[in-house]
Amino acid sequence: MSFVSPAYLWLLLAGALPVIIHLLNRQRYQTVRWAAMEFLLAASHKNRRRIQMENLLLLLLRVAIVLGLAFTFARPYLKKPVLNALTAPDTHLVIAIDNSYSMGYRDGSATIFEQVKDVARKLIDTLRVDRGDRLTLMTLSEYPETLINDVSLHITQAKKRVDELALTDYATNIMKTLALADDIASKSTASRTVIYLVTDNQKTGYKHAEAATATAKSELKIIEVGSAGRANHQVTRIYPLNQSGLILTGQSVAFQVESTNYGNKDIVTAVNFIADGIKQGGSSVNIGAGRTVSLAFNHSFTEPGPHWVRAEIEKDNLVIDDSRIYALDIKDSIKTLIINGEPSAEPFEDEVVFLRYALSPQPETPNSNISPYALNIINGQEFISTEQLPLNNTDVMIIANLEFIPPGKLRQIEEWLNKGGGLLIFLGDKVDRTAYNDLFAKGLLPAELVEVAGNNTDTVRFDRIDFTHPALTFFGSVKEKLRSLLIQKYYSVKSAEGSRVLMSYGDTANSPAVIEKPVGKGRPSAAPKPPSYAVPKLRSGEGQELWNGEGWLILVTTSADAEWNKMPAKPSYVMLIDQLCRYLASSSSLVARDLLPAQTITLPAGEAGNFLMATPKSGTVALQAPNYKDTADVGLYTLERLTADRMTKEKLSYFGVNPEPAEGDLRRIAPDELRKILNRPFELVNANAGLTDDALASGGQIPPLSHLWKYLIYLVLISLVLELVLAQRFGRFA
Amino acid sequence: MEDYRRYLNPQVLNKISRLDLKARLVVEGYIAGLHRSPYRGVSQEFAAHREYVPGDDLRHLDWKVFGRSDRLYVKQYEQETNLICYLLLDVSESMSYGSTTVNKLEYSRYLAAALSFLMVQQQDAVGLVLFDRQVRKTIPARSSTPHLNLILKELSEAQPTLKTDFKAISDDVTTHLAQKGLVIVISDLFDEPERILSGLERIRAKGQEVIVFNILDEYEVRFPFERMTRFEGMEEYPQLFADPRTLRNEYLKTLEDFLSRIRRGCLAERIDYVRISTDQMLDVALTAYLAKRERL
Repeated sequence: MSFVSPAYLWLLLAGALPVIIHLLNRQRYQTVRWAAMEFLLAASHKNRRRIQMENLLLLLLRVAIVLGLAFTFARPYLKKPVLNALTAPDTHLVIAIDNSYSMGYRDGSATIFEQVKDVARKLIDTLRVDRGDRLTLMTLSEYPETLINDVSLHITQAKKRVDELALTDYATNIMKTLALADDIASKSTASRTVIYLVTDNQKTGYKHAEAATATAKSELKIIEVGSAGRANHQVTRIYPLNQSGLILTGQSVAFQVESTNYGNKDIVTAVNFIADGIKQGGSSVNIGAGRTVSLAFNHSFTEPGPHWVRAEIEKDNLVIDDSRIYALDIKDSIKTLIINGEPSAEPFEDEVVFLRYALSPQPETPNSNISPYALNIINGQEFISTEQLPLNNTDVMIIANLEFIPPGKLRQIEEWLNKGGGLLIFLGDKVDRTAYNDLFAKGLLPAELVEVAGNNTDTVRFDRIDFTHPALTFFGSVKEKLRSLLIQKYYSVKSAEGSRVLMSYGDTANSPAVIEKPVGKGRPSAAPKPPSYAVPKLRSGEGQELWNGEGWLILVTTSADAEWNKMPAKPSYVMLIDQLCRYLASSSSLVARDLLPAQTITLPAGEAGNFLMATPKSGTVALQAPNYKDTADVGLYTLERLTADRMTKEKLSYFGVNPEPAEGDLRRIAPDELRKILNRPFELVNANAGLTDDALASGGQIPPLSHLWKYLIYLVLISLVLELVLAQRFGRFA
Repeated sequence: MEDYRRYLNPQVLNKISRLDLKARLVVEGYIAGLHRSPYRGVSQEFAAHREYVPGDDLRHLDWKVFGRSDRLYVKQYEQETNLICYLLLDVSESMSYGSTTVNKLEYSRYLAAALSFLMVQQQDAVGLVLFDRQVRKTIPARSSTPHLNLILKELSEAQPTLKTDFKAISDDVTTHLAQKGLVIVISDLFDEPERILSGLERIRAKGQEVIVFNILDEYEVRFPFERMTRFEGMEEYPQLFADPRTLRNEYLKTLEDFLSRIRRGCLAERIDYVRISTDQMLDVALTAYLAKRERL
């Protein structure tokens, strides 16, 4: 119990007044010589006990009146709604504790997460076991979790659970949490349900607000913690400025680093760029209040394989978002397997001669700096006779004018495609239309071949070119170059559903010329965008499979050589082949390795061997399932594979799990906006604006039932009336 | 003209020292307020003649009859048949209580004096018995002025002494009551009701008419004390320290029970019971007496 005006408690001493008056009255008496003594003695004798009791009762009443008045002046109220036990119904508190990463903001010596826990503990203290109160304790974040949902309430356990609660690296999602809390509250049998959201109440925490418009019966109280104008800066994104996503050794790549200042003041800060743990560069940058600044850092990787880069900004009160990791795969070359369907000793008769020169002008010196392609050319005969195709070491496979693919080889190719291979098919006069249409039937061709169209004299040009396709964006600025290519003969085809026509011919029917088809689930039709301020759709879902190891297949309906067209005569031919191959080769490097916490990593399908995952906080764990889900912690994850002898480990890939940038915007939501979003009654309480223990009980003010002075007044009045009535009745009205 | 009626007020009467004067003033005051004379038989009216017998007072011889007829006749008057009345006055200690300047005994004195005066005035014989636990003084009934003076003297000298025992004294009193007459008891009756009633019964058994004037002090009837009080008992009762407010109801109830029991007892014996508080005018008692006298 507390008092609004405790000074008045001195008046309690006045409680002794009736006793003193009584004693004084006994001292001040008169003496009367009395004649009718026998009647008086009889009356006294008969009533002695009753009189004593009456006297005591009156004395107690008078003392109670004085004490009651003294208490009334002091205006007592209850910290805990004890009176509620008698008058209020049983209550079910649903307390959602914000443990998103923004709560790690250091406000003085402690984080505001400690303040949140403090508030939660105080809320738990308001619960009454004897009243049958219930408690649901849950976390408030992108992935809300129920910690305690107990019919039987154990306050000590609940507080212990609060003590143990740790910060996460997740973003805030208040609407998602509220929906869960509403669901729990709606199932509660308690007469009164109150949902408490204890949070820093960021505006960005109310994303997907349109999804939740609950008509909930439970009361909603939002308790804001942390000071209002908290500044924060962060590395918002880091990504390579590379169209295809394919990065080769020795290639200089520009990494774009965006830094945002969410504070109200301009800051000057250092931004450092680190590659594979070694600082490569740094720059001092002035970021205006509320501004984002981009810096580019160039870097080239010398070694093929998995790599990671990190951008760091000077540490502030919220450390977690002061760096970001971007993981990527670097290839030393694009390993290309070419199946030559029409080999010839004559240099210009050979089906793939132009292809070979387009991809590698100096086949004699492979892996030279001139070309990134390492070619492996197999003749059609060889292709059929070889037991095992060298696909494990192949990024792109080109089939040119091959008559048919035997079933054994088809299986191998299909498997390889499913692992992320890229297949480019050229047609020609050798092609067995029926055999290819069988492939189509199996889903391994983007279009059904109809007939050979065109003749040797007339030419058509490419038309309806989809410059938005990653393989063709290169030509966006030199569109005429592609249109300069001339084609004489080609297969007219009927493209299947789900296929994408990249280019058509300029004939009357606009026959498809280049058609793309995903194999299996395929991969994103465009290079994944770097995470943006608005969370991209790709990442919004839980358990999104980000390892898209499945391959792509591109069909070109004319020939690779000059037999059906005059393409090789133009430099654009070289560019087209290069772009198509780079696009197809990028399938394995396009894997999104910039994840948000709790997103699932799907392991490459069909890979044999034991996988290990080195995590930023939990050490190295062995993986059994095809999915890795424990990506709650921000940091660098390393996927490794034990070699067959289980002695050495081979690094397969890095994954960078980064905090959601929006969460770093610590600005609070305005009450008006909040009202609009929530669209339901709620109470907003600021824990910093003098939040007392009592304010927690019902949010912001002393609960009405805990105000005792009203009841005391009634009590005093009742006592007064009782005193008057009894004194009259006892014959002591004075 | 002096307003005699104010002498009916005991407080006024208290200022007059001589009891005989008080008695006369009371009676005069009382009579002044009446519309017709209450005196009966006291007039010297002729009733009848009878033959003279030796020993008759020669003053009563009718000389006119003797002159006409030479025969001696004596005139007879009504007053010869007058009443014999005894006043029984309680002089126990309890009678000395008074919340005002006039205590119960003082009031009783005035009452007794006034009654004696009235009786002698109308030729009734009046006697006086002073008693507490025993008879203190007895004056036989006579109907003469010197006798009245004797009674008044005794009344003024009476001092409160011991406890009342009405039953004990009733035996003593009845021996004096040879003739039928009127007994007027003036007392607060603070004794056990059985003893009082049995005493009254004995007097009634002697063929006496009885009037009981129950004299009570105003405070005894109302018990108006408010402050803590130490009550010191008279008549050998112990003292009591109490808050009078706590006892008032029960005291008044006990007192009322007692009084109503006495009244019912009197009613059963056809005794006139008159409760008088010392703050009342004296004419209440006189009226009660005269009403009774009329019936006799």
